Amino acid sequence: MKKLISGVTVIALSAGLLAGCGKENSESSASSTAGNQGSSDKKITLKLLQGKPEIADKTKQMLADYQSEHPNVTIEPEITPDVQTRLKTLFAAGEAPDIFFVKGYTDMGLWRDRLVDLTDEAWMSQALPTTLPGMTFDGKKYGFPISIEGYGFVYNKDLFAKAGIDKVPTTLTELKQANEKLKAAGITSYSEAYKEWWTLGQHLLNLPFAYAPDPAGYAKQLNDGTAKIKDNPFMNGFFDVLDMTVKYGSGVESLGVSYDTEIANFATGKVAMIQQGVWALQPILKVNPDVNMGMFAIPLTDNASDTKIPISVPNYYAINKESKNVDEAKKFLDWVHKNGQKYLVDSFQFVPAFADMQATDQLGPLAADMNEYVKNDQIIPFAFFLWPAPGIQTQFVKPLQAYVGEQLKKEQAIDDIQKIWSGAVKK
Amino acid sequence: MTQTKTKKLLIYFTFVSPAVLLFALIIMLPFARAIIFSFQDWDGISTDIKWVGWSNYTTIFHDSAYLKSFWFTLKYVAVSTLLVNLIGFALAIVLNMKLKTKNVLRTVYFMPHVIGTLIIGFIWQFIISQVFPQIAEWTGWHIFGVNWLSYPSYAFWALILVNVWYSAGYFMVIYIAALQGISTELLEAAQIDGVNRWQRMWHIVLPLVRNAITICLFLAITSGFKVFDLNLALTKGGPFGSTESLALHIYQDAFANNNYTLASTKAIIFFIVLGAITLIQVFAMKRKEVEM
Repeated sequence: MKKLISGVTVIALSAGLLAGCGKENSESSASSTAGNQGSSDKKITLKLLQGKPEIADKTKQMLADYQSEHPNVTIEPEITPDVQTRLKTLFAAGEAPDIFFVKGYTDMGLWRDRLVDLTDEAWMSQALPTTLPGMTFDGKKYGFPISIEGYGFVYNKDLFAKAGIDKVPTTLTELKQANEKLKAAGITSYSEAYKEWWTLGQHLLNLPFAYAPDPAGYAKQLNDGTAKIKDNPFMNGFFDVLDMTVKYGSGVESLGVSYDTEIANFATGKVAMIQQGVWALQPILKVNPDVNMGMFAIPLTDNASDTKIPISVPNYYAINKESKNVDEAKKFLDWVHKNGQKYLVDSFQFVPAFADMQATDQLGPLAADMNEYVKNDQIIPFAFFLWPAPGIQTQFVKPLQAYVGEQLKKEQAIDDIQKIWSGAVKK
Repeated sequence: MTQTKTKKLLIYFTFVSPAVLLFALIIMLPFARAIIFSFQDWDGISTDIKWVGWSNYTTIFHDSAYLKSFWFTLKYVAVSTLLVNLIGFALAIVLNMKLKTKNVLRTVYFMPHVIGTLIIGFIWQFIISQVFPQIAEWTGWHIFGVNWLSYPSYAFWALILVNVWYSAGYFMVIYIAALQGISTELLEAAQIDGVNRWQRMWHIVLPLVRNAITICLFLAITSGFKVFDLNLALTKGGPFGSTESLALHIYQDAFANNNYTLASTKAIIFFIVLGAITLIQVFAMKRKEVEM
């Protein structure tokens, strides 16, 4: 009896092991044959990796519609908040997706060896000029811009009216006056989420780099050491704004404020302003659908004509060069462009990155205010895409947090940022 | 004779092989890969991987952020190991007494351990930033009036507090099991001999639960060193990197700073240090254990 049991167990266990290996083999061989044939009635599977979990359901709806129009194509989406990490692990595991999110400039530069050249795609001619520099290397274009995003101070119009502020500040002095008026009316100005690396170390710190007359050239000068961050003429304005957000906000305790808390404080009318972008619209409305809000560009000088809004493409779709179905992936992007108004704009509520799509009122007050700046050409880029390593923001935020926490002086903070920058270039 | 021996061996391998296979695939292979990475230079993306010899190892000893996170992790391990074991043991003693509610209480204290640490991090982030100010308003205690996640020392104690709340119940369970293993005859005999409570605890109970102490210290030290998800969810290493644990620091280096190979080197050093500390701890404690 014992013998029988052990015998059965041995067989069962080894069968299990073999089955495990066998399944993988058959799967990979199936996909490779499909790839080799490549004809349209063969079953084709495309793997898609993207961020923006907030539009996960809408993305899946779009994919379902595509699949019902193209019955031979299956698209397997994976939607994760941390595309950069996931992408590296997938490539390391040899399971790279066919289509995936890449960010512009430095990130695109790092990935370009692995990407398909999309310069000759039909939709490329419609992409807005502001979307091009981030994806162009040696004259070749590698990305499909998903949307345009911008940020500034999102403000509560009712609280501004209550404090007697009749026009949005366009200079540093006006910003200070607005803060004083709010203070006099007993309203806290800010609740800045300085616990998050991206509000402080990425978006706010972007300003002095983006306001430079030629951000790309300036980044290059910083890389080869011919320019130093402490000589940046906008650095003083940056620290003035940072000081204001702390002084008229939660003080040192801004360091403990998370994005959620910031959104909640703004949406419930506890504070008048937050430094956020168009992406904050839905989260704010979810807390309180009746907020009367707008957005204005953050000034760093006393010259109103200097004041511009940072605009960029947050993500591009790119195609993996080693994909077995490059043509199918291209077809998919073409389809997304053709139906862009329906999906990207109306469904995802993205501000369109293509000239042949129309921004609608549905996009809400933040996008509307942002588009005013775009129309008047008062725009600057997301210069942090030009910084020497894609994740360097998470380092930059530390000296800035230490400055907010009164651990470092302004000069020391700038010095630390310079060191991090130079360290990243050396590698 | 030999036939039964080979059969035994066969059965032995059959049962062990799945575990060995999984262990090799999930632990040994990546570990070997990390050792190789530690002698290379790669950003985690490009197709070009260079060999650099020992230079990664020399670089990390000048990396102040790495040394800082090492120091933070050591502090964290020392304090949390001590508190978690003390409180876990105290709970075990109390809940090993004849209490009516002991089963309910055991469940209650163990409950936090069932929730994922990420979730716990987010829940406590809410409690600290929203509920603590309320407590301060009611009680007037200054300590709850400040946002704990804004100051380095408070953030450290926030991590300790949450970890103790999370783990104490787990260690309690191990200690209860050990306490229940002590024969009542021994304790009664001691009582008849006129031993007071303190002497009974020090001379009888503690030596007899020493193997549980060995296990609990080991678990607390290793889990303390490897703290990652709680750290990520509660403080994100902030404010200004003052609460960045080693695991979080290595992760950041690999995936945010694109220093894949340097991070592998740091992980190898981390492994050696952690291995050495736990081996010394287990050997030292094993020698003092009492066999009944």
